[in-house]
Amino acid sequence: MHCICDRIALNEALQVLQSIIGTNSTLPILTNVLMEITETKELALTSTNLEVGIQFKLEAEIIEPGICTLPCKKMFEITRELIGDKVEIEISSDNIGIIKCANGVYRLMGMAGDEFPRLPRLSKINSIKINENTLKSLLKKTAYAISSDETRYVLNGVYFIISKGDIVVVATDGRRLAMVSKKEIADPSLEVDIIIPAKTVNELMRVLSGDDPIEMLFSETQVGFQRENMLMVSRLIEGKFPKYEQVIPKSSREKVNLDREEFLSLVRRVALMTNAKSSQLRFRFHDGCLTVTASNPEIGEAKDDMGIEYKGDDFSIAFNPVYMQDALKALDDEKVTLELSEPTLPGVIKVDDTFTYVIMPMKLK
Amino acid sequence: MHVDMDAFFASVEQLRYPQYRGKPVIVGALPGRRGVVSAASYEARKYGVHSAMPISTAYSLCPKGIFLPVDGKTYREVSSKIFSTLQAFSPLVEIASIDEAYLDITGCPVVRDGLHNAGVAVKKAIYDAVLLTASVGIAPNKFLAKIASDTQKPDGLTVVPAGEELVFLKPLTVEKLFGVGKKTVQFIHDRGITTVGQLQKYERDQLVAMFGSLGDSLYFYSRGQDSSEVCDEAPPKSIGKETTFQEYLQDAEYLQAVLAQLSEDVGIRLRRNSMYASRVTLKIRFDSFETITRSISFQTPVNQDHILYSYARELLDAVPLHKKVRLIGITASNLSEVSRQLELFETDLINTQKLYFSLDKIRSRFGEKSITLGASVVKNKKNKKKQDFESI
Repeated sequence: MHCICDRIALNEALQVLQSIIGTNSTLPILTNVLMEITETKELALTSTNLEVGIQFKLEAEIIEPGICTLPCKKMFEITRELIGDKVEIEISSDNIGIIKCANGVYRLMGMAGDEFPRLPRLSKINSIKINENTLKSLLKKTAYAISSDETRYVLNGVYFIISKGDIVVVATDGRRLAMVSKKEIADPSLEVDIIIPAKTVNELMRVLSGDDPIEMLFSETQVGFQRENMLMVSRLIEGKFPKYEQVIPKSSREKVNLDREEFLSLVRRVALMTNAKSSQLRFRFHDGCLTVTASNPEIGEAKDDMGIEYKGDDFSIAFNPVYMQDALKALDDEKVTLELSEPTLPGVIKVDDTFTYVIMPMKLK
Repeated sequence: MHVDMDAFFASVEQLRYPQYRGKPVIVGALPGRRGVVSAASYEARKYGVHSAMPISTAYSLCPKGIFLPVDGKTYREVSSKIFSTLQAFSPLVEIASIDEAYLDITGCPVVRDGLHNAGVAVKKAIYDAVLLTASVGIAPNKFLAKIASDTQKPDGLTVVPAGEELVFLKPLTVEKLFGVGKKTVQFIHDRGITTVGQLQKYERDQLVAMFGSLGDSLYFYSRGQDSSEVCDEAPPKSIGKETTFQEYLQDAEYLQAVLAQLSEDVGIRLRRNSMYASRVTLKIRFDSFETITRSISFQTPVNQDHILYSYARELLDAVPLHKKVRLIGITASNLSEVSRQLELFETDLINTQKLYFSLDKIRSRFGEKSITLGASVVKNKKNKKKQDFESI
């Protein structure tokens, strides 16, 4: 294999490719990137952690086709530090990569390419096209609520639903639930409900940018994301996502409109007096005022407030500040609505009818 | 102040049997049997014998050693004499283990004549009471005091006055930092750092960038900062139980039953302490002495036998039983008191809470084995051989 390609483009691709590589891989070859040149004028680069795989196709000046794998992280580091616009990559017959750029020559130990697991082919596909920023926003507003508790594996991803033309994305860890929807965006006849693993969601959020469309490909057991020169294929989490609609309150006793940034700042300030052991904020709603307090025997106490439009009963409820902040941080809207009923019933943060965040309270101390 | 008895078990034996003084005494299992070294006298340590070493290794290193069985009762008696001696010096004595304790001597009369003299006084009092030597470290906090007591052993006394933390720690190797495990040390060495002095050169941000969340701890450790208090009764950090088999076995069903029994025991103790665990660790030692541990963490803390068992069982099922097993154990850790966080999805935890309340009542009245999980019943009776050793 022998080719010459653009250094910056190669480096950018390698950065994405190496980000999915696991650290304690039992298959050493998975720390490598697969480099493939077939008869076309492209250099294909693939990495995978067996859960999610990514392939880039770069334009290259092909001198000789071939296939090989080279250590992905080292390739990324070398192409980052090299000086020069073009980089020449040649693979010797014993799988040593010779990388030349300007006056520099680097020899890198590789492995044969035939053992490298190929990205699965997506068969029996449905697909939709969606603006990258739109998809990113849907994921960003839910991904933080994904559970990291491996014993509840169906919650280790986002639940992605397409139904009647709308897209709904849901994530929960059993204590809070984030749901976001985008109306009338897909083909009304398309029905999809899948759980996309957290790792894939995080990688995807990193890659997505701009207003160009990306194509989502749905097969039985995989989901793919295809754009100009990149294809990401991920396995899906098998299992049944819990019936999330049931935990979203249908009605509420009180509705409070809040300035998002002001509210977030208040929560963040008072939360300074909490720690992992004792993280509870008490929210007291009373005439025209929201008072937030924290009390921690190891750190100290805090009390702060903000003016709100509230005329209901004097009402106190406790929440974990992290759960409260997560949603407020992920939003970019100016106003949010907080809906409450009882100190032991969930609170709901809403933005129009597109974003719903259900958060379970804590028992008051 | 940290007080650490020198080669405690071995020293007690040497005290009891004057003929063993000045000779390599090794307390633990007896050679030819299975087991490990519990303590080795300083004479035995010269041969490379140290605690936790398999007894067979100790025997090959020091065949002339005097091997004695562990006499827990006697050691506990001596130990309680030592602790009551210490209580005369400070109202706050934290018993860290059978042979070490922390004393908060801030403002106590013993410090009137200076810290060094305080150390001398404590050492003398211990010697007068039980005729044994201790190594003492005095420092502004527990962490430093423990390192200090370890720097001159046996019969040592090391004082680290406030303001000299950095100077004291500087020449030490990173291995000496208490709380930094072997793997972490390797990780630090990989970065070309071997002494605490080298660590001290880094800013907090830099250490965090290099080591992640560990960097924070390393920053404070390397500067000798520690805010933990001396407390009379430390809440348990983990609750565990293990069983060593008299006859090693490979029978998965039998192991499962034992694991269920251990889960019940751990569950009972968790509930007795009103604690919940967010992590379960399974430990298995094979006849080759190869020991593996497997852990699982979960978000919702639990203290119910059947849930502990189901996690432990999941871990056990993933272990290939290609060799005979000599020991199996379960530990519940990441303990917390009752969680105040309510859950979105209905769980059956609340319903079974009442069940366990009743179960514990029955057990306290009729004995812990009076009512058990079905899984803990050994189905194949002929497998139940000699009494297995249980240990906490």
